[in-house]
Amino acid sequence: MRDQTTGAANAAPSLARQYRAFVFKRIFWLTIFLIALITSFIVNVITGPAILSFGDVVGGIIDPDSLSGAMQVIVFDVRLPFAVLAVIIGATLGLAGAELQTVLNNPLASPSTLGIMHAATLGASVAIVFQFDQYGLPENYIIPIFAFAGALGAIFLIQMLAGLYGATVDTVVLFGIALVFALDALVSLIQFVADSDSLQQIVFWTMGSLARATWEKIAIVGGAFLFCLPFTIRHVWKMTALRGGEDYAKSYGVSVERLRMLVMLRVGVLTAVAVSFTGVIGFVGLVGPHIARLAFGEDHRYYIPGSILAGGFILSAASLTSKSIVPGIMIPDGIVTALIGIPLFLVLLLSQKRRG
Amino acid sequence: MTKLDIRDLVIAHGKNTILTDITLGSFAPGSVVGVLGPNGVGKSSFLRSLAGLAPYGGSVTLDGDENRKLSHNQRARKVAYLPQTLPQATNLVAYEAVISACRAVRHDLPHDHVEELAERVFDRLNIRHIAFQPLNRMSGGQRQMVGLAQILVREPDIMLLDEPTSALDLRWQLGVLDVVRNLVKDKQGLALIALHDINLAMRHCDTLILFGEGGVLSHGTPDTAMTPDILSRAYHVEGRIETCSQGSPFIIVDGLDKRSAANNLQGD
Repeated sequence: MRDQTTGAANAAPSLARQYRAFVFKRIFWLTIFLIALITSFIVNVITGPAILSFGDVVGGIIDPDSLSGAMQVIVFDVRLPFAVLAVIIGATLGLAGAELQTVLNNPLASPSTLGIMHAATLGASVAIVFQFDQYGLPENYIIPIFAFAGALGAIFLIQMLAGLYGATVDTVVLFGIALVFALDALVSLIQFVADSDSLQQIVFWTMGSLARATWEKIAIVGGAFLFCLPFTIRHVWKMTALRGGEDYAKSYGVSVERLRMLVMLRVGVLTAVAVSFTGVIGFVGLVGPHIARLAFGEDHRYYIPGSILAGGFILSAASLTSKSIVPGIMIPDGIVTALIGIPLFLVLLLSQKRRG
Repeated sequence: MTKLDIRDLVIAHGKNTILTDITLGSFAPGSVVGVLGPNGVGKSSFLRSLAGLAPYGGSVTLDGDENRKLSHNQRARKVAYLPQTLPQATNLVAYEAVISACRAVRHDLPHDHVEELAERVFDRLNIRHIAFQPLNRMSGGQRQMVGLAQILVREPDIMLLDEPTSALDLRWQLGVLDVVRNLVKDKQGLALIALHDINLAMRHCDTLILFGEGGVLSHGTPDTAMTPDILSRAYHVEGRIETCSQGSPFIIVDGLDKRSAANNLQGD
């Protein structure tokens, strides 16, 4: 076989050179994604009841003194935190979804699949109904703390069960689904005993919203994202190898069970931190990775950044839309995310099929 | 070169013992060993145990170190295992699949060297034309070639290949086994290849291991390990051993042996 091809191989350009051209296209599309994200971020900052120009915003960010006192409050305390949180939460959910879809070998996997979102909802519902602020806990952080504890509890429960019964893809997904149903029932039970005010608050929480963005929340979510990212980067080759199949990855020396455990722990922390401040935003973690997969393939060196950018863009565009549909009213982001994400996803899917 | 040694090997699925008392000792450097036997006899389990992917009793050593005590990465640097299943049909192009397989084991290798290894394996297997095709747009045979490239790119000392030609046509079957054989001879390494095609095994392998129910039925060079009597005991077929124009032995199967034929008639 080798003899038949030696001559042809010498004449053809080297595969490494062809691959560089191939990679160039991927980097080009990553740049396009980045530009789309930056554009949606800037428009998000500009858009709102108080009219600001592009120049005002950019000039104000560079030199805050160029803005009046009221404008400084609008830009730095309202618009920027809102826009930055949208990007960071979207990026975090995009990253979490991409990693989860890889280690569970399931394109339908997202942080919702493992019941993390539902556990966060249960934690938030408990905090809302049982009003823990009277016990001296900081008022703004009671719901996020309970939501975070719930989400993290879910991931530890799945890890524990998977550890007992063997962390295969099937067992993890099955435990996740069982957990979703159990948590749903518990949330319904709490809603049943809740008074009308608490019930309204729980329902609003499940719709997901970025409305109460602060720099403190951004620092916490951003910190979790930056903490987890190096571990993801360390695992990119192993995760790419895993896409060939579990037996293949094992034969390359990848400890698949350990990798799955570590990734699930990371996904649990990322999702728990993200949703604890915003409520349920379920769609980004599912569709962001799909968009990245269609655009960049499954080499995780491009798939992971693509998924981060796609997630950030979806939530940024959704948050922009949420305040633009009805002036003066912010429609919950969880709703808008799905309304924007689905058409975008379908367009990409159909265009891929046509090229196919 | 890494030395594989197998003594008193026992393989079980739960409480069900599949293979027992397998002592093959060590293999001569540069050997291509065919692993044969009827369906379900334990060929794949045998290879998976050697690859450290399934538990076993007894002793399997690599250069004197007990296989089960090695870390995943230590083992993968010496032994490359090709699973029976094809690589998944994912949106990963063949070139990426091959370099990621190499990188997952040898993340310390310089990038240029990995590219050189990849270039070499695509040439060896004559699959440059599918290097930038995603796996989800390939035929089963093409995916099997990519799976092989993922193994061969590491140029391992020991290759464990579980039915590496199951999805390939005749030309590619011969070509792939020639490539494996040449690589093993060049490196003075070792390949254990599970095959269903006995003639292919007899043509390309220096040694055959034929598993029967519970253990090794025969072990040796193709002309000693495969006789009409052994063929009948292993597969319940009647056959003859002939010699082809190239001098390789090959089997002509005349039909089921008398016992199997009687069972079939009763079944009718």
